[in-house]
Amino acid sequence: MSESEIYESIRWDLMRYATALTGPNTAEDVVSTVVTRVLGRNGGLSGLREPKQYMMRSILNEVRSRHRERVRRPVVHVGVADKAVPPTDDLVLDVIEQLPAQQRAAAFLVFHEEYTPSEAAKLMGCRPATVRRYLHLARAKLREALGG
Amino acid sequence: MDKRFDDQFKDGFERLLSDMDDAPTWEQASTQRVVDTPAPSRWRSPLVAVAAFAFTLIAIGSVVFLASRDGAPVAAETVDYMKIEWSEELVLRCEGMSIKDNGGFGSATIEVWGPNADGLLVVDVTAPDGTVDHRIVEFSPESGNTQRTWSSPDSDTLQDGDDATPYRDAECFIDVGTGGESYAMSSRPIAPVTFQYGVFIALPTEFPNGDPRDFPAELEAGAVANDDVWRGVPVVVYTRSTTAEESNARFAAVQTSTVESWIDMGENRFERSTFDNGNEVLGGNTTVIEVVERSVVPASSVSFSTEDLTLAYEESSITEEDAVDTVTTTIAFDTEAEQMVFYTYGNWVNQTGLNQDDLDVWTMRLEMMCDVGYVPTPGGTPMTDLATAYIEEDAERSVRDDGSLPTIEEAAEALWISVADPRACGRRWDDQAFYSPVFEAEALNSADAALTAIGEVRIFHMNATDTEYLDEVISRNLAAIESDGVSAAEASRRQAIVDDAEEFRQAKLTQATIAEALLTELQARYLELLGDTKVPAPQITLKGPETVYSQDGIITVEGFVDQYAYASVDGVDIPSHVGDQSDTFFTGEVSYPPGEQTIEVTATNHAGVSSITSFTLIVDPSFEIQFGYLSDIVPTGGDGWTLIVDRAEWFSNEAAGQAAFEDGVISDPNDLPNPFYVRNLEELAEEQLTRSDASITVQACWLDGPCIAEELVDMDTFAKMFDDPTYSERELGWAWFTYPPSPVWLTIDRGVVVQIQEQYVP
Repeated sequence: MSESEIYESIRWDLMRYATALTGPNTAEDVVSTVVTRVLGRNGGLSGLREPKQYMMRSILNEVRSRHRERVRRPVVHVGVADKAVPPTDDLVLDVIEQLPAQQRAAAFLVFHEEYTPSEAAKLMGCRPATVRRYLHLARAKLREALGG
Repeated sequence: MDKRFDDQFKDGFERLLSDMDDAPTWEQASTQRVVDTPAPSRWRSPLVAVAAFAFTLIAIGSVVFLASRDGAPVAAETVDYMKIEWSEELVLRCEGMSIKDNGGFGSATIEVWGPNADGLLVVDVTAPDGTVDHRIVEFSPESGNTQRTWSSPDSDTLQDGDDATPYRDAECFIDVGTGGESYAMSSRPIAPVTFQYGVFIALPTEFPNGDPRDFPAELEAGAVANDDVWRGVPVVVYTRSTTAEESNARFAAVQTSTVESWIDMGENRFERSTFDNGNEVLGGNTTVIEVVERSVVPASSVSFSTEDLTLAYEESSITEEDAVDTVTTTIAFDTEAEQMVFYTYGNWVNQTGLNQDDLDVWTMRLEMMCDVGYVPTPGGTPMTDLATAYIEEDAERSVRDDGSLPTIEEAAEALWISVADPRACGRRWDDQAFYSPVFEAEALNSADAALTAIGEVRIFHMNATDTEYLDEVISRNLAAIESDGVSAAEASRRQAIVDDAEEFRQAKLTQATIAEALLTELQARYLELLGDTKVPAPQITLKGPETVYSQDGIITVEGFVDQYAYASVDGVDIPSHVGDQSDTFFTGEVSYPPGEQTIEVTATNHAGVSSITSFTLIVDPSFEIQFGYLSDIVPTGGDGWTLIVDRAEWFSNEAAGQAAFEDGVISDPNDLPNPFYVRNLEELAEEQLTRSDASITVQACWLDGPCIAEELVDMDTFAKMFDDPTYSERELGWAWFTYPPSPVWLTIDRGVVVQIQEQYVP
């Protein structure tokens, strides 16, 4: 498969994952950044054994990296116009948005995408037990937010 | 944890995705759109020559890498690092103690003297009646001397106590009332007298793929990176810490560090680090380094003096006369300027006084410590057992200069302090949850605290019986031992790890036994504290039919409990529901031999009150299992039905990719977008006689509830659903998720379908 064909086969999965992790405003930029980076490496997309898994890990890393940057220094955005974020009083969405990237990724993969923790662990590059811990922490935060 | 949270997450993500943009096209995505955030200018200044000092939390196993400035691979040398340790004695001084009006202990000022002291300190406050208040005080680097003030609320008078007391012997006394009674505050270090500092000097190494920009690929390739811990990843990591002080109720001031990390991508391009500094094993922590210039220097040229704390290295260059000119540079470690890095993981480890530098070993130990530290074991701390074992294991390497070994008490204390540090156990429990006399006393004197304790211990018990991690360690190392080309030394090292892991497995079983005894005690105490209050038994709602048919005897038991409770099947805990004490949903896989049997599912609440429900399981290897698409349901007269099924084959996970590849659907077995694949067998539809009382489960999407959920229907309803797409919504309140032709698994007993299970397809 060509680079573009590989990308075409996984781009919606990547976009969904990035949207779940970082929200709709920056998901596209995250995907573009990661793709650009992979193309700059030897072999590009076609040189990867498991492109989807690799890219999903890269997206998670990118999101975490951006989060650190956001916390510690001003974010520099170039060429990406932010969309207005509608105010929301949705507690669940608030909790999701406040989850650390790894917990958010685990929650998305398991609760929404219905991967098993073992499958999610492969995509995230960690152990299944770690995914279960992330899920536990995510649930605890939701429970706390809902006062349950 | 209530499953409704899972469903709420699902709905939340669904709403998030509803705002999703179009995925970028190939043309858009392949065009670079992000400009690098420039690295600090000083980092881009001409490189003179320096070694990099790197420090990481997981530094025992870490390898820090230097690349040449232009990003080209560095000449291959073995992965290497130099670890330097030295010790400095700390001095603690108690300056003031106070008592409250009500006679309780008020406050004290503790000063810790020593360069870059950082860690945790135990403060025991002993009241006249002998009760001990066990507290932990943190302290951090502060220009060589560290002062931390500990105080309790509502403190009033202050009185001076001892001054300039040697660290290990620090005690402060204050008289109260008459009769010579006194409060005593003793402050003890975390095991050995000295703290160990480690400095890692980065030395030239190589990338297996020869490209420093290939960092993520190295991880995936697993050539260097470990599956569990991202250690040994050869990248250049520059980090810089910034510190800030903040006040809080606990300490007069807390110095916190934030850390920025960059990975050198070559060509003066720095990317922020995207890897986790050991969160997996040791709790997230940071890197501290203040080195901004670098060059590659041969390992052999680096030397370190522990006497004057200087680092020296030699660098050679070619002079105009074609002669080799060697320049030696000496760098003084300026501790006050924090140029010396602090080696936190080493700090934890070294506090035990044990000289054990195998990260796998410490990883297992930490897992164990974190578990063990969690349990309020009556009559003592199990850390003593662990300390005894560790000292024995590390005896040969842990002998001090004077020939003595670390004491069990010192090591046990250090282990306990380590697990109290949230960096070690990742805040696995609240501060009050790990073993302490206070916690234990509360649990035995308050019904609420006892209830909490029971839940905590139940979780501990489940962790103790979960040896998945150890299994992984064992299998990974056994595989390495059996692999081709492994050296005898490496095989021996790995065998030792396997042996350790086996030992830990046994130790876990011991811990499970301890937990069981503790549970019994706490549950009895809880009921006693409740008095006449009657604890209702949990009500179990099992998912699935009353009769389950299975060919291989492996079934999944799922259900709900109406209160916080734990489920077991025939006396065996179902572990997969572990979340926390509020779990009400359980699911687990169990296996049974052939025959008809009654399966008992028990739910036990925190008070130990149980209820039992059961279902019938018929296991018969002669059952035939078929998969296909249900295309029609026809009544055959009387009570019978006939199913018309188009045969197909279902594949999942790796087999799915392989099957799709064989069918020519995809060109690479790894490219399957979903982890399943259905191969349609070009066979004519088959007729299957079906019993009218067959067990039938379908995938339902509730109009006002979860989507998807398995629902039971009888054959008559099933046929109505099949004939009328709106039937289930109208009559049952849910939509049939995969309206026919539906993928179904059929269990067939001597030519008659006894069980129909709809396959969920995303």
